[in-house]
Amino acid sequence: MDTAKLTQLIAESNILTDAEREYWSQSLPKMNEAQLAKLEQILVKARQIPWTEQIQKYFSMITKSAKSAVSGAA
Amino acid sequence: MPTSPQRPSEGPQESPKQKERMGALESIKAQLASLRAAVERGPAAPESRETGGQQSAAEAMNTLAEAFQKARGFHEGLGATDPARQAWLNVEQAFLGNTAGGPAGVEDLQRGIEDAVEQTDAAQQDLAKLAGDVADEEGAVQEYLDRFRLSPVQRVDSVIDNVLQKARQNENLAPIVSKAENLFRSLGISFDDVKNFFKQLIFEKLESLPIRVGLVEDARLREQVARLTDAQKRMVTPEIEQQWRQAYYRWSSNPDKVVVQRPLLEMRNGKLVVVEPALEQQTAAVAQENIDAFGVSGMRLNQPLPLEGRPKFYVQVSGAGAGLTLGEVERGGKNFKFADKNTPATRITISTITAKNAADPGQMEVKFNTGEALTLVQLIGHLDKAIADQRGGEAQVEIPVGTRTLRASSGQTTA
Repeated sequence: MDTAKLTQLIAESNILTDAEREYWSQSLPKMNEAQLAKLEQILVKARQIPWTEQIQKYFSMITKSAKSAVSGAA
Repeated sequence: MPTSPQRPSEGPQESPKQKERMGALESIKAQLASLRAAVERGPAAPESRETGGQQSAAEAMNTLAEAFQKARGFHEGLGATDPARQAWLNVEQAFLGNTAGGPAGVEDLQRGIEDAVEQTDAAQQDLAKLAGDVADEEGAVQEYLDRFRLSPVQRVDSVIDNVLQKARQNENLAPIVSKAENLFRSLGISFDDVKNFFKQLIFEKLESLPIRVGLVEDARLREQVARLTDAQKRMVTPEIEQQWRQAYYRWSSNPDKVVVQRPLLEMRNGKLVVVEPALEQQTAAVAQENIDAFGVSGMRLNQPLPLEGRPKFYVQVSGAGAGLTLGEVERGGKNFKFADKNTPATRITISTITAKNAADPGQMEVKFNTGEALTLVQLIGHLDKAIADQRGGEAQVEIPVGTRTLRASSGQTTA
């Protein structure tokens, strides 16, 4: 199991709070292969949750619109 | 970060396309301002106490859906390769799935939010199970949930804050986020408004679903405890929590529940108690039924009071006193008697009066012996007009009531 990839998934997950991030980062060394695979599966699946995507795309839209509007006004 | 809003409409030379964009943006701005107003009114606004929470949320949701439609129309007018149009299509897909081109209704938005919260909560449960497996100890799952599980509102906050924080830390995104925030500000929208809107929306939506009540119940209890001082918090015993949960269950089980009547934790006489506003209101209503409305002996709310045999009594209407007896109404120093305009010999008297609430005597119903009725404030309005228009010593006025026209005159009653 690629723990670097898992560490990155934990750091980037939008469903985790900072406290949870710390908990899972510290738990990694204690976890077996199956558990690591399960954690990866949960976090990858959570990345696809529409809510998370909605927020990301919403900000993407807002920033693009803002960029467009601001440059149009310049 | 620029300190002043950069409004696109302030550009020195606008092309027709830019003007069209600005028109659409102004329209969206108006919708968002309306949304903001709905959010600011909040669920506990006094003027909408009866059903305020639900109405405000419904209004806000409708406004959001309307703004969504406007935004869709605006982006459809852009060129096929315009990045803003492509970004919008992405947003539509995220919000509504594959319904681009279909109606962006309130239910579509609610469903999207509901699904997202449900899936987020499921992911949280999976993490708790995994934590239990890793710890391999009894109670580890619950311990994880107790330690990390967030209420829906905290989850929403957390997701939004995570994304914002990451964007601000990114050297490429940070300036754009700043500009986006300025754009929001120029539209009169603060991001806190948007977040608060979603919080209320999610809470009220979840409270309408029995399956989710337990989840929101925890969040509501935490809200109540958070309002207390540290000393008061120490008085929240397991028994108090249990009482509050039972009260919340009673409230949430009522299909006609009113948002502002959720159970509360309050200090009364030095003790922390669970208050159920809905029950208190019922008790107050019962008590109200047993006191004399407006100090008039024997007058009960919503119970007709016969005037026959009763001495004249006075109430305040439209800033002045009005005296009522069976056969006449005293106003402005004049005693008005009533007759039928078309059959002047038919003397008309007041049969009963009925207090409709405990606050405003003007809303009392005045019923005549011929069956017609009107409110006291309406009747007094006619009499005040008669006094204002009077010629000589007698004031007269015709009062249409139902299918009959009454004639009221002071001094003497004539046809």
